[in-house]
Amino acid sequence: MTECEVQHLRCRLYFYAVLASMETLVDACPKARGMIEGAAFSICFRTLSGLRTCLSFNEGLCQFFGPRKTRAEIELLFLAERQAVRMFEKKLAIAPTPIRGITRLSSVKPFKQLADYMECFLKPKAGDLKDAAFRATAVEMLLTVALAGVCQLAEYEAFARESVAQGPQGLIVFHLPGEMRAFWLRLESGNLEWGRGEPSTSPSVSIRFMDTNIALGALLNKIASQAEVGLGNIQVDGLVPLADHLSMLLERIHLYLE
Amino acid sequence: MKFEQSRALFERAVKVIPNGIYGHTSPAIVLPGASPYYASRAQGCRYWDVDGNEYIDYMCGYGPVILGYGHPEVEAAVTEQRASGDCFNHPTEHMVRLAERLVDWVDFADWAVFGKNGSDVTTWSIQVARQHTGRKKVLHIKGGYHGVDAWCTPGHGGLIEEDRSHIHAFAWNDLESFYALLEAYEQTIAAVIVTPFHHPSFADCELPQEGFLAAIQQSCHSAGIVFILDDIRGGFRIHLGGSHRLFGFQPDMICFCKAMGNGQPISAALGRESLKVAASKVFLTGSYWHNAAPMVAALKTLEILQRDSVVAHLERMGTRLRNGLEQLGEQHGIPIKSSGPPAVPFYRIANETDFKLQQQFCRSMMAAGVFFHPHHNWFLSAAHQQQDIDETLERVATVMKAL
Repeated sequence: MTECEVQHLRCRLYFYAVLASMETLVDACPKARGMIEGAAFSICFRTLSGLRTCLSFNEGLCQFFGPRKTRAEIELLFLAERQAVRMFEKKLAIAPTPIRGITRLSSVKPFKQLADYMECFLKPKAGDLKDAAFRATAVEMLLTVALAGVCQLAEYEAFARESVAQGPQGLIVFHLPGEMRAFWLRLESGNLEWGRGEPSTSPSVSIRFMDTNIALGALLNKIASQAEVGLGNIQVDGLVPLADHLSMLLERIHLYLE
Repeated sequence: MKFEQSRALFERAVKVIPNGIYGHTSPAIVLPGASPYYASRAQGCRYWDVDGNEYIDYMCGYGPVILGYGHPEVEAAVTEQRASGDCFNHPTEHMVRLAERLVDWVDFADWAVFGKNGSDVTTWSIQVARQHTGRKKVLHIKGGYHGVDAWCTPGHGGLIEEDRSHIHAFAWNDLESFYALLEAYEQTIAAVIVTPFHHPSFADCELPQEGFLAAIQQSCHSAGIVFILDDIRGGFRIHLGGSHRLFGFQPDMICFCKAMGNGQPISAALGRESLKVAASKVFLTGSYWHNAAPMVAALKTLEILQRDSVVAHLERMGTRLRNGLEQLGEQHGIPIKSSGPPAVPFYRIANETDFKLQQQFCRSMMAAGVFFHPHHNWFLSAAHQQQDIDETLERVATVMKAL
């Protein structure tokens, strides 16, 4: 891939995978909901190249629209995808240019707060992970980034695209411990979609994490997953090659996201 | 059935070994928690795990044990050789005898070399083809398995794009897809490597359609491409002269491994006279590759394979197992899909694509003391006798009744 293609993919991953986990965070975490209590605005990040991602905040709820929503009250433009990537990575970057809602820019403050808080979960510190609720939220957010990210990879990374086209197809469901929601990923005819909750059809393979530490380890690429399967800490039933294939794709996200 | 000792060993293993157990014997790709992780001893067609559970075995060490575990004649030959020495500064006479035996048995072959594992000889054969042709590209069957080297490993860790930049896949039994690659890369193709029948994991085995492999042979011959047969799984199980004899074609090189030494580490690549100079230029060695004991084991194993008509025995026992499984499946409303040669078969529950019932069936068979792998082709050995097959089928009947 050229440097330009890499930046495009990374921008997509931040726009459509990382930001998608903000909705997951607000859903799962009372503290996050508190940060946007009273906030009522929608925000859209755009790039000159045509990428666009929108979120709205209202009555303590966050809704991630991605590219589906065409307009927002506040719109911020990145002149280059690299500029957006650098901002998400908190590297020295020129701030995006407000092109709509310039008078409402002060309402973006809770978004910034939330974005900083989000990072605590996506790059968790050992101390934070002692808290069970924190771990549960982190797992849901990381799984959101992983599944949404894989959908981007499958379309915009040549290796992943070819691999998805040639590999096993089917529906994967992720069961998380206790009362946590399930997540699913459907891979059909080379197309991917993901969602939360139990899927409507019977999965080809189900992956069950027995506790949140294991799920976090797997999602952060910090454990030997096959060993955990052998120990019974991860249960994989059904079409094992589909799970293995997804695992390979998930690992590739780490090539692009810090 | 309890797996406490297996579990305890695995818990120790994961602390000091990546994945605890790696590769094809990883519990993750068998039946985690419901199958043994560690073996303790074996005899004939049965083995015992570290918890003392006994199994009628249908994997034969994933292929190598063709005469049965602990075959007395092979063991005696190996023990005798070890008493004289195994790893020397030089090869022994046995290496020459073994090469002569193989060249005598394989119709097109004029020379042989030896390694330890299948990968050693498949990868080396590719290099010989490149040396001979001066070309880069290799065609292989999509989903085929040829070992663990970067050009062919089914794993995905540690690879770079360049590892596969000259490796292209076509579909089994699909000459159109083969011809398309041939047309696209003809002047740059060094080798075509195939297995005599397609044996992907998590899928049915597929025999070659009439003329498929012969057509590849013809194209390779016309285009100056080296045609390599990876006969690691089928070799000596379905035909003593190489599996090509069964399917009506002739490669330029053939690779053997499993079944050669009844569990002793040895593999071989054989080729035509026209490739001998190229073969002489591709470096080939390893610390133990000239060891005498595995060569003695191979000589004795080959002798017994011929003397006892083992191929025919495997066909008979495999067919008995196949017929029995199919009948029982029909009887209990659990149809069985059979595929592959009877000596190297794969059986799964028909009409399902997610293997869930298959996994349940094999889990129950493990509990009943029969090692049926849910995802990988099985292997039969000379030690499987009629009473073992019948005992297996009795247990299958009990399990199917309860499913």
